[in-house]
Amino acid sequence: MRRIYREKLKPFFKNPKFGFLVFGLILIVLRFLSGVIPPDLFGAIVTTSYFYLAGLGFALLLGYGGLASLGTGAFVGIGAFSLHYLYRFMTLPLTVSIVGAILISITVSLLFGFVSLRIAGMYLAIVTMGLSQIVVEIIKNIPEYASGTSGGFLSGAVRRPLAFLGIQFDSNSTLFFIAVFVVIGMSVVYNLINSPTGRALLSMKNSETAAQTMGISLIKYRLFAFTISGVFGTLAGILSLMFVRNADVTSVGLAFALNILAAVVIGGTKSIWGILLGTFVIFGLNLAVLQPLNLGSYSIIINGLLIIIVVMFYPGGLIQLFGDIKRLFIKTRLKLKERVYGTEE
Amino acid sequence: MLLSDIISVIMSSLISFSFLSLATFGIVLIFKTSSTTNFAQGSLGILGAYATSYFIDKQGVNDLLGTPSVVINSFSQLLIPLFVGIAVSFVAGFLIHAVIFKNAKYTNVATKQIITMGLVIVITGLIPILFGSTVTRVSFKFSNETVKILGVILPIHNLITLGLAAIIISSIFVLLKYTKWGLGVRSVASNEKVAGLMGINTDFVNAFSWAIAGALGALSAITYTAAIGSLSSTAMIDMQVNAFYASILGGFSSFYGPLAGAFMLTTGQSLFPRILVNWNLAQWSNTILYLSIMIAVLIKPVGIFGKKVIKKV
Repeated sequence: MRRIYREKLKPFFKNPKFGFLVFGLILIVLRFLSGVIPPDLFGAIVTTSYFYLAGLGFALLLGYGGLASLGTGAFVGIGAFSLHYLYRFMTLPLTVSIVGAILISITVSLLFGFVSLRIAGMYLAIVTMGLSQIVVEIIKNIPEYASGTSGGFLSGAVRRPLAFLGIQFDSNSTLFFIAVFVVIGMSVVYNLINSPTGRALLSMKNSETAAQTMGISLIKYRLFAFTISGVFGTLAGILSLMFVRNADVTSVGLAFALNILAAVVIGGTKSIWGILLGTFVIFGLNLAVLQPLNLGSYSIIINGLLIIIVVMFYPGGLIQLFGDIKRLFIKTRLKLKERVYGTEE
Repeated sequence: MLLSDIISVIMSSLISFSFLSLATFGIVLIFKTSSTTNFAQGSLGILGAYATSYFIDKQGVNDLLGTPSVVINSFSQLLIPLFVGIAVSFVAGFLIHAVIFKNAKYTNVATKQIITMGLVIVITGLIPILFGSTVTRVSFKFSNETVKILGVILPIHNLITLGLAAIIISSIFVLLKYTKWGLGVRSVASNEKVAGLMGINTDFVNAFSWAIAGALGALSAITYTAAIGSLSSTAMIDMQVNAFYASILGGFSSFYGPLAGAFMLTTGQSLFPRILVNWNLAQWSNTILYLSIMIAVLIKPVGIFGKKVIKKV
């Protein structure tokens, strides 16, 4: 029994992917607790979990590629609005609509990524800042979305309730989709950063010129990272539409992109769990804790200051705090022991 | 196309150029000295614009409607708030370098960018707390009258701004060329480390560039928000995006390139809708403009007036 535990089960539990699975299971369990948890907290957790996907993609770009982008909001918008259009107005099945939305986002990210990354890495932020403006303009030029909001699935002339494989599901059941996509997303990012692609990205981050000399194609890997982050942003948009049942262009612009950036930077750009922490600090904390306390107006300033402080003094992000506290604890325990029992000499 | 159409295109592009050139120059100045793209340029300017608007309100202009409850009869009543607004952004710019960038330990190009993005969030959050929660305020205007030049009706406010921008931009070019600070900026722009070794106070040069950029941004924001008649913390986002695209189009490597890019962009902005309206595509003009800039950049990646920089390993 013990041998089976040591040889078979222990490696399985120690595998980081086991943690991802547990997280997915927790999300599914949460679905059944939706009546018990206060609605503010429930909303905060669900919002955190789908924006966490956007954060994961962005972290691959920022933490490993060293590229800042302001296009996350644009991709969330592309995801939400194209799913809505494909599902409701073109009456495609849900799975086909999701794939369609992802294909649109891949096309857009290849187009904009290719141009900006061909010039210089840091121009990506500039070009994607324009991208969010363009996306807002395009959405508003579509006659159905002239008001800037998508509306749900059951209002207006064309009614089509959201159904997966013929089964209608309510807003809270989106958590099943979120759980599946988040677990896949975490595993994909984990595998990518431990693969040659991740190492190539990391070497480019440290020195572009050196990486190029070693035969790494800058544009290829950067475009790859940008496309992946675009797809993750699109998935976040798709899930947000499924949960909120409405999309709004005002949440597509610069402010949202800055929030995702803040989430990733504050949590820790290189840690998968750190980004979850950061996303909760930005999206969840405000909704669940600060707004009920009437401190909502200060949360923006706190986020901004946190970004600057983390970048200036604590590049590992908040997740590094846990490691540092643990180390401090071990150190003090050692010192205490020395004081009690004396040193070895 | 008629002669009056051509004149109106040129005039309207010149007027948008006057706002855009000030914002663009601030961005280029910081790009050259601190080697980062400053995303907080627009927000810095908006901070100054809010200060100006606040001080005009103090003199008795109605907060919500923008209608003066006290008649502004002397020019100094406008001029003092204008200078206060510019001074606020000047000091804020100086402090940003002195407090943040000078002390930042682990910075590279990407992290500096992130710091400026963090500044955007801080300033956006700070404005409602400092100046009250009114989302939109009407800022000030030099004059409400219009004048007719060659058959085109133009607001006097815009013409005064155009003159101001021309004077300020050309005087900064003179400063860059003939003063010690200008020499410092140019040397820091070409190589910060060597400039420091040659006895240039790089910290002062950088801080002063941030301050000047802040002042330029404030002037741009004050005059632009006055021209469009509304002031909000997001009013400068369009201007900022345009300034960045102009800088990419012209090429970041020189001081005049981005300005040329800015002029081309504003010309495109006033020309494109007039051409596209023939095919019923006028509402797509901004998208087409941005896409055509990207095609131009794709053909010439360093910008139209840029030079290629070769780096050693």
